[in-house]
Amino acid sequence: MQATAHSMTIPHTVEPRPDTGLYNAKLGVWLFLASEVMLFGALFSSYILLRVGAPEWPQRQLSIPLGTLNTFVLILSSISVVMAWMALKGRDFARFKLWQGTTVLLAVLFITIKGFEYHDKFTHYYVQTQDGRALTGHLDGDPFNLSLARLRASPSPPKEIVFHPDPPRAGHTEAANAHGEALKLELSQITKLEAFGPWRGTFFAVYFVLTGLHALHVIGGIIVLGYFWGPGSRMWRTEPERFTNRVEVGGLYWHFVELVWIFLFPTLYLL
Amino acid sequence: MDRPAQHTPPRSAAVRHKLILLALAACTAVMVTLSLLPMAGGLKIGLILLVAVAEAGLVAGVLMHLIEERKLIVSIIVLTGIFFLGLLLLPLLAEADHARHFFK
Repeated sequence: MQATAHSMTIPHTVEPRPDTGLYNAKLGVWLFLASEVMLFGALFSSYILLRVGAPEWPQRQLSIPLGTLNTFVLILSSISVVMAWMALKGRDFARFKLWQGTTVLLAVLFITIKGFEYHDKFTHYYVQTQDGRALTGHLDGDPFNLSLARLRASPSPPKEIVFHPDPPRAGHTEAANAHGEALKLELSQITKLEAFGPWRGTFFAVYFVLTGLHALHVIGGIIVLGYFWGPGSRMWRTEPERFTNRVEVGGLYWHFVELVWIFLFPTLYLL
Repeated sequence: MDRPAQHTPPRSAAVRHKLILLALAACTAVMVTLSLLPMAGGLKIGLILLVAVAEAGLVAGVLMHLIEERKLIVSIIVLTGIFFLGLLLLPLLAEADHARHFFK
């Protein structure tokens, strides 16, 4: 049989399908977002189960100013992504570049702030001593994610560590802190030393899972929106309508990422 | 047809988006303020979640054009919303005794 070369075009990338009245990518992204709602729904459901069943739930463990700042960053990016799409509708490619670039930069800013928050948790420690003291605070030099086992297993383990306790705060559920000057704690006297990672109780496990999954979505958004801003924008010269639709679909995904954060922020930071 | 914003004059659309930006920022500020006010746990949770739902409604309704969207998409989202609410209600019903204590 002789092979014949023929071009194949994907239908309904621009014109709507007669049965749905939508171009395919738009229906596709909404179905995808519906499945994403259920994914986050399952996690929120687990959160409710864990929180309602917990005898006590730690509060004010996260930085509200940083969380609020990140919320404003995502709100701004949600507006800028719409402005980018509207610029294409108005056939203004330069403005599209400006707004889409702004969206990507804001997304990167969000991840950077989240990174600072994560770093702060992995350099914040809980220490328990043999005489029954339980302290939270920072170690001298702010080491990242140190544990008692790792400290003891180091080639030259220190005899003591310098610990800077947190100031006491309202609603803090950890044992009372001795606020004041730096404490010198003998390593042999320490029974527990761990950073505020996901292992530091149910709250932090939930916090890292939910915000980690959300951060992965933000990174996915940076890749997709960045592609449309950069190499993907070449399509504007050949198929402007199709490119505009792609940007719209990318924008819908980005709005969803903001929607999730709108619920994550109060759930984890404020309640 | 399925792109209603196309028919919105760019100038009025820009004004609308500025208003939405202000409304979203205001919702966030209200949530943070409510969280700092001394009030009963259940009331605080209810009010903050109410503001969060309003904020999410603005994003989904206006920015994602859901209020002007085709019936097919609205149906998909409504159906998803019902299942989502079911997912949230299941643990609350399962732990009803604890939940009563939790909202006091």
